[in-house]
Amino acid sequence: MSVSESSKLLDVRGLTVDIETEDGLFRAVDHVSFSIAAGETFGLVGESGCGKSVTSMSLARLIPCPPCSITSGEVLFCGRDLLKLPIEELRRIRGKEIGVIFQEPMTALSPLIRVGEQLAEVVHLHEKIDHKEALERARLWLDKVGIPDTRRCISAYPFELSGGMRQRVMIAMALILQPKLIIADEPTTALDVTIQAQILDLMREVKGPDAALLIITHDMGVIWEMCQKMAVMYASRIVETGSVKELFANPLHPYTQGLLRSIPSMNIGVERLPHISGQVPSLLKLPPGCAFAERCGIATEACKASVPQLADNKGHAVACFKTPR
Amino acid sequence: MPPLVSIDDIKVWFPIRKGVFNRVVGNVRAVDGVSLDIMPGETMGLVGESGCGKTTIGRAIIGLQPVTSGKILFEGEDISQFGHNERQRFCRSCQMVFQDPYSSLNPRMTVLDIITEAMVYHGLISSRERETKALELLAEVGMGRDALNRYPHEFSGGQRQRISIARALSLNPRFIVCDEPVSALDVSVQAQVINLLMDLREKHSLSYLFISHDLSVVRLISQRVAVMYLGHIVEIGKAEEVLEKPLHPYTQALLSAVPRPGKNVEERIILKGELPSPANPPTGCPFHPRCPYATDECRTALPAFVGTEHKCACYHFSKLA
Repeated sequence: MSVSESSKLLDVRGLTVDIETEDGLFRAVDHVSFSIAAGETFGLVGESGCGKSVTSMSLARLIPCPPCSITSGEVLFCGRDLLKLPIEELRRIRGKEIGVIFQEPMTALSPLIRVGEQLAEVVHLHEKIDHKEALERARLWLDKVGIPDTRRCISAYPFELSGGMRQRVMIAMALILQPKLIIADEPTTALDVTIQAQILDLMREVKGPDAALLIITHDMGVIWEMCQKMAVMYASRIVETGSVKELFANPLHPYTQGLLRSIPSMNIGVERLPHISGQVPSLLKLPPGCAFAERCGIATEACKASVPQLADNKGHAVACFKTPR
Repeated sequence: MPPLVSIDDIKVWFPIRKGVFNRVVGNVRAVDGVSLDIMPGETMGLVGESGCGKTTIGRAIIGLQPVTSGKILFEGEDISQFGHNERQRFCRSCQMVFQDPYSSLNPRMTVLDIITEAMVYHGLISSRERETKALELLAEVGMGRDALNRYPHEFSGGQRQRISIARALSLNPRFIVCDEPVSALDVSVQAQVINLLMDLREKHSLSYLFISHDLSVVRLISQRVAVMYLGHIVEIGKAEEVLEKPLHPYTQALLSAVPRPGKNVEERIILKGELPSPANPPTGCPFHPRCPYATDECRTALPAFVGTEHKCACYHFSKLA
C-alpha cells in the first residue's frame, strides 16, 4: 500500500533530535522517517525512553530548545517544512491545524484557569470571535466529548474533574478547531481500562474522516485497536514499520517479535511469559552496531559492528541484518 | 487446611473532617465489608480500577492500615491483638512489594543498606554478615555484586523492583503483598519481573496477594482471583473461571475493555460513566449506576454472594452466565 506524494498529510524525513544533559549529549531521535495520509491513524510504539514522545513533540517544535536541538531532517506538513517555518507562522498552525492531546491532563491543563476559559482561549488565538460565542463553542465540544453536565464543567477548574473527564477536556481542546492532524501522546496511559475504552471509542468517533491521528503509546493493544499503520521504535530509531495487520501477523524484527510475545495473554496453559532479557541500553553509551544486539537471541558479529538500516519490502520495512530480504 | 490469611468482613473508612472543630462530616468507604481467605502457597489476585480499595486491603493485611471494623487473622491469630513480640514475628512473615519502585526505595541508602536494614533491625544477622547475605539475596533476584554499593537512582525501574523484591525476601517471609509490582514497568521488563516472582514462589513456597489492575498479569500468576468494585468484592473464584467465564457484569466489562491484539472492537462492552465516589456510594449494588442490567432490586439492596467455589454478588448472574 503505497501512499502517493500528494496525499501525504505529514511526511517526516530523517528527523534527528539531540539532547544535551549534564552527562553529555545524546541522540534521542535518530533519523526517524514516516508519513501519515489524511484520515489515517498511525501508531508509534516503544518502551519508555525510546524517543517516541520526543519525536511527536518535535513535529510541532514543542520541545524545549535548549536542551534539545533538532539537528537535521524535515517535517513536511501539507508540503511546508515545519522545522523551517518562522515561529509566528508555526503558532498559527499549532492548535488550528495540528492539535495535541498530552499524556497527563492534570499537568497539561492550567490549574488556575476554568475549563471553559481554557477552551475559549484556543478559539480566540486563531479566530476573531466574541467571548460568548467562544464559550458556547467550548460548551458544544464538551458535549461532543461526552461530558454530562457541560454548564458545570465550563466553570470548573481542572482539579475538580476526574482523570477521565480531564482527558475528555484535553480531547475537546485538541479538536475544537478541527485540526487536520491530531497528535495523541499516550492519551490513555494514566487511565483505568474501562475509562480507556471510553476514550479510545471517543477518539475514533470525534476524529472525523479527514483528520489524521498520530498515537504514541507503549500498549500494543491500543495500536491494534486504533491504527492502520505503525512504527516500532527502539533506542531512538525506528526498527520496523508497516501496516498494523502485517506487523502483528508477521513481525520481522526480533524486538517486535519479543514485544508481541511478552504481552501476557488470556490463554490457558501459559506457564511462563517469554521475555526479552536484559534492558534498554543507555542512550549515552549506545553500542556501535545494532542497539538491540545485546538482548537479541540471533545477533551475530555483523550486528555488533554496524547499524542496520531500514529496508523496505512492499511497505513493510525492517532494520535488521538477520531478516531475509 | 486452615487459611494463612483470613479477612473477615473488614471495613476501612477514612473520616472526612471539616470546619474549625474538625467535625467528621462523612466517611470515604475505601473498603466496605470484604471477606477473603488466602491459603498457604496460594496466590490470590486482587483486581479492580483505581480507587476501588485494593491497595487499602493490602495495607490492612500487613498491618499498615488499621481497620474500622472486622478482623484480619494471620495463621488464625487476630493481628490487631498482637503484642510487641508477636508483632515483630508477624512483621517477619509478612512483607510487601510496593507499586512505585521510584518512591519505595530510600534514595540516600545504598542497595546494601536497603536490603539488610530489616535483617539487622530484627537481629537476624550481625553487621559482619551483611555483605554475604545481601549478595545471596541479590543473586536470588538476578543481580550481581556491582549493585551492592550503588544508590537506587542508578538503576532502571525493573532493577529497582528487583531490589524491592530482595528487600521483601530478606526476612524470609511466608506471605508477600505485591501491590501493582509491575504496573510502572515496560512490557518486556514486566515479563521478567513476573517470571521472577513466580520462580521465587516455587523456591520459597510463598503466598502472594497480588494486587493489579491488569487482568492478564493477574491471570498469569494467580490461582484465584477476586474482582473489586468500590470497596466490595463482586466476584471471586479460580483464575481461569473468573477470567474466562466471568459472571458479574463488571468483570465482563472489565475484561472486554482491555485492548488486545486480535480482538474485535465491535464486541466491546463500553461502560457508561465513571466510578462513583466512595464518600457517597450508591445504595444497593455498588455497580448499579453503570450496569446495563440493573433493575429496581439492584438499586435497593446489596446482593449477596451466590455460588460455592466461583462466587458472584449479582442478582442477575444466572441470566448472564
